[in-house]
Amino acid sequence: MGQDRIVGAIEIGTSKVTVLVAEIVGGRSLNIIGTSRATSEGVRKGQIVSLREVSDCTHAAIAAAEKTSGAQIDSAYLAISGAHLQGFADSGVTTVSSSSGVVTEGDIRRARENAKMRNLPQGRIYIHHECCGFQLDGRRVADPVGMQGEKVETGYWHIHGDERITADHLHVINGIGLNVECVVVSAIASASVAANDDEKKNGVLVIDIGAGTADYALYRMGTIVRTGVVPIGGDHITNDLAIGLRMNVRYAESVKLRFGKAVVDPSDKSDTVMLIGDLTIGDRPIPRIAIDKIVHSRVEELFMIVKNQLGSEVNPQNVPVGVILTGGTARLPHICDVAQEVLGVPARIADSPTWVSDPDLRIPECSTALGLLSEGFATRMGSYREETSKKWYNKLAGIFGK
Amino acid sequence: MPEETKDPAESRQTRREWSDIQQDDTRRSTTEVARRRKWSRIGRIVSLCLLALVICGALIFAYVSASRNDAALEPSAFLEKVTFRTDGVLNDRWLARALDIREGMAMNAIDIASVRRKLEASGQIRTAAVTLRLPRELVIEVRERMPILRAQAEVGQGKVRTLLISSDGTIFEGSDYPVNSIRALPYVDGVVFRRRGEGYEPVQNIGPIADMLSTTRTNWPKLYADWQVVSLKRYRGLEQGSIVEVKSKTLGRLQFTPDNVDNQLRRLFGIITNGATRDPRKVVGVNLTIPGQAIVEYSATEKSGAQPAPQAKPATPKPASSKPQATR
Repeated sequence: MGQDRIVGAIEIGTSKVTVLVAEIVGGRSLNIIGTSRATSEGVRKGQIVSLREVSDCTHAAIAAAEKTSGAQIDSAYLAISGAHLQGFADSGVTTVSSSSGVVTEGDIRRARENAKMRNLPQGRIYIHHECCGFQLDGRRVADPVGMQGEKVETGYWHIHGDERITADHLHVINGIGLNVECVVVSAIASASVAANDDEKKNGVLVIDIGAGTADYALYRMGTIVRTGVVPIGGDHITNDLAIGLRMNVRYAESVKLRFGKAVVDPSDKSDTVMLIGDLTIGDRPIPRIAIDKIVHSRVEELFMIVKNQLGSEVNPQNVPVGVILTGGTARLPHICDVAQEVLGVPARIADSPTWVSDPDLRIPECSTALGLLSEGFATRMGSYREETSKKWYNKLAGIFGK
Repeated sequence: MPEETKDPAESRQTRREWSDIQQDDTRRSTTEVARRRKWSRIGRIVSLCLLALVICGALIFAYVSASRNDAALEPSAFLEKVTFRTDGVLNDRWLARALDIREGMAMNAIDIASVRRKLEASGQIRTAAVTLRLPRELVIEVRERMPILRAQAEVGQGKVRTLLISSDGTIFEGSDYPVNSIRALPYVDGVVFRRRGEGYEPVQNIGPIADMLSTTRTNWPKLYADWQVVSLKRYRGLEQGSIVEVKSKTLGRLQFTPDNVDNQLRRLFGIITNGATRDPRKVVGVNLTIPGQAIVEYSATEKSGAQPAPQAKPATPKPASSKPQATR
């Protein structure tokens, strides 16, 4: 890539569509030049339920982002989420081919290929393969190339999803004339921004709690160990409030944002808050303790599900850094307390990424889009450099008349 | 955890990656925003193509122009062909005599403005268009003056030269006219030739004379053929009392006013055909200057040789069939 290339990171969430436009300069650096956020329609729990509505809002967001950047997107990175995503661990094993027993790149490649060979049930499709490290004759090594041994084993965390749901996401982007260059699971995208390398090496659980789903990724020794999606998010809390307090969803969302907190505070027992707050018809007092209990129940349930899915993986020994929460619902007051209480490890809200200067992007809601851009670029950087080197090679070949 | 290496060819047939999903970014745009974006993109591409075409065209044009200029300016560019077109009688030989232009001379040595001035100074040429058609051709297109009168002028050392007068009064020495066509022209009398530069000052107010001669030649060719000299001694344009005298071979001195010539010629023709020629005496003059009348002047002798004194009598114009009234 000798010339600039414009890429768009597109996250189609349950409550909003976020688009970041970035230019890749020289295949090496990434500059964010445009952003836009639009209300999402036609998505439930991370899955598309109305292609037309999703297309309308996504295309509007893309057009707005292009307008702010003053450039047209060449290709897109897409974040994907939803309960249809599942993962499993698998490993590939191969014997060292050289007579001297020195591991070569070819041995590693064969081991990688073997690790990706497992067939999936009909209608399932691989989304992501995450390498979890190597073992040489049973001992864990970071890079076995050049070392002596007989058997190389590589571990992988494979994430797969429903083919039709994935295709729907791709076709939404195709509908505006863009090709999806890279698909990144939302959990990995968020985690790449929320946790740094040291935290990943020590062991950390990153949970991105959005409106429709909570995506989590567990890191240990610098690699992904587990990912998962819990189909519970901020919208469920809103829905619970609407049903429990007999109010419409719009007011419930307002009450959640104004008064919601994740813990039950005994001091709120006698306290009441007004539903609307302007004493108009329909405005009425609501016991604050009721709000607390409803919110706490749902948040507690969310972390309980995460704990059940991860089992013994989450404990202070495996995850010494603890839990890092991100996503829009992570703004809920005292949510870290509940996470810490349920999961039994320290919890905190993710720090803003230091490499982003725009204050509008330094919020938990944008972590997936930022991570998508970062991960997508990291994944594709090899091919960009390859394109660049090919161009240089062709130029040199032309000069020397090859 | 598998312990043995699997056959990749076998399992690739059933495992699929997300990138195996067929993506078609050229499919029909699904939303209004997508359609606008698509047309915007097409418009941008078309604009860029047009811009590229314009730039290429401009570059090609500039290159061709520069090549032509180079060809014109380079010393190896010589005149290979001179094309001469005229609506008159001049020809290439005259051109070669009149201009110092020859094939093989350098193109950049030809001053087309000077050539044009030289051509138009000859008098015979009314307008000239001179074009350098690069790289190696000179094109000259001229429109010539047509003479209506001729004159004999003394040019010194007793030499006499025939000069021609065109319908706009220009006096010039004609070239390449057929002898018969020059001989058919009447002489002019009563004109003073004044030199101006290499040529002569034009004759003023000759327009009515040109009209008169043209009308006579066209409508009364036999009368015209009989005219020998047109005298402008008493001619003062279209002013009152202006008279044109014509010396005719058979009718002697004819007097016209310069206006309404056709009517005067019709009267003259009537006199000739119906009266005067039947008279035994010889006609020596006809005065047509009095409106509606013609004064026929006879010689004193009859045509056969008798010599009565010439008398003049006003004659009332009659239709062509009526007899002329003449008195002795």
